[in-house]
Amino acid sequence: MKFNKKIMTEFLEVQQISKLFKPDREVEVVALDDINLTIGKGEFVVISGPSGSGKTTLLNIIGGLDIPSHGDIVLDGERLTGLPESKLSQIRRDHIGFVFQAYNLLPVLTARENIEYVMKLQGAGKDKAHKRSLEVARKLSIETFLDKLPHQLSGGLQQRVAVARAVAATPKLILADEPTANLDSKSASSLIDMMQKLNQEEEVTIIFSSHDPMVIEKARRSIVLKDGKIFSNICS
Amino acid sequence: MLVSVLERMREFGIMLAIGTAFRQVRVIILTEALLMGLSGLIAGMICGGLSLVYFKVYGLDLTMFSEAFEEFGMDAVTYAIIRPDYFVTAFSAVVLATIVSIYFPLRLLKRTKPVTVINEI
Ligand SMILES: Nc1ncnc2c1ncn2[C@@H]1O[C@H](COP(=O)(O)OP(=O)(O)O)[C@@H](O)[C@H]1O
Ligand SMILES: [Mg+2]
Repeated sequence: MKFNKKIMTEFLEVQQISKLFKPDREVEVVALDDINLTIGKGEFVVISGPSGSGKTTLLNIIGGLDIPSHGDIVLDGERLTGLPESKLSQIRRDHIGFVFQAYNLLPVLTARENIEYVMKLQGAGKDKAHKRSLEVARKLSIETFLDKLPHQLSGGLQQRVAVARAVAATPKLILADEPTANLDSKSASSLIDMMQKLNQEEEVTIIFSSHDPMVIEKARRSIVLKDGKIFSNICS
Repeated sequence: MLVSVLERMREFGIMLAIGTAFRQVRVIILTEALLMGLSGLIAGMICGGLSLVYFKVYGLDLTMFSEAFEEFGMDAVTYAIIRPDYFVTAFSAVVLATIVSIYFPLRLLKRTKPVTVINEI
């Protein structure tokens, strides 16, 4: 038997994940209810669903930013559940890139310094970081804004810098929680196109969330959440 | 310092979320606080030192109250003395105050999940 397509190894496993929030003694919110998923290396996946369906909670748990009430996350063979915060922090630094809805660039650093920040944490030297930040900036067409501070840039440009920061440190996985929610439709569309290009050129797995139909249709695989459960899981 | 760390919780939250170790953030906060405290100390030492020198040379002239001083057997003009331990004491006080001032903000930061800070605003 011959395979034409590259075989995808199951590199992210979400196993029976549940998350309960207890804001009060009386109230209990089931944000995620027994979620099971596998995502292959190199996939470009969107998680959609109405507000409050659990998208943010799921991405936070996958990225080691929050701890599930039940279940396991296995990233590239490494079990994240039960690890101490210091180890999770190290995994986030070395293997995961984050893009947030509100850009969340460091306000006192220039675009270039923001892009190089995680690389520097990883111990990259000045020359290497410089070369890489320029390379990534070119792919996102922001190479002329590298010396600007975040507040001098439009939302669309800030979010491209944030994507560059996430990509530059060569993570295995990029998690983007509603990266286009604060952008106009043109910037949103071009941001997703650039992320898709990076997904292929850099061979990095990308999972992002959105509730914008125009953005959702760009992903090859769409996972829909509803009330903390998987409502549908479709590859197109 | 509490105010300044609270204002910048979001910034520290971002740093922690994208993989900065807590101990690195602690070093940053401590360094900034010490720099702030010490620059205040240096400014204070310059002003204080200059006025001390002035009063050492010219004395503090309180002749308008001379009658009262004479009753106590003191000179109406007093001269300042400068001792190095003034500065040592001030320096230690600033370092101690700095450490005390960042203790609670750091504890708060340690207990807060970075995402809650980031998603709040
Ligand atoms: N820190 C929290 N405390 C209490 N409830 C929370 C918390 N975070 C999320 N929730 C609840 O969990 C559910 C899922 O939220 P979320 O993951 O933010 O959904 P989405 O990102 O799809 O809008 C919602 O009902 C929300 O109110
Ligand atoms: Mg959300």
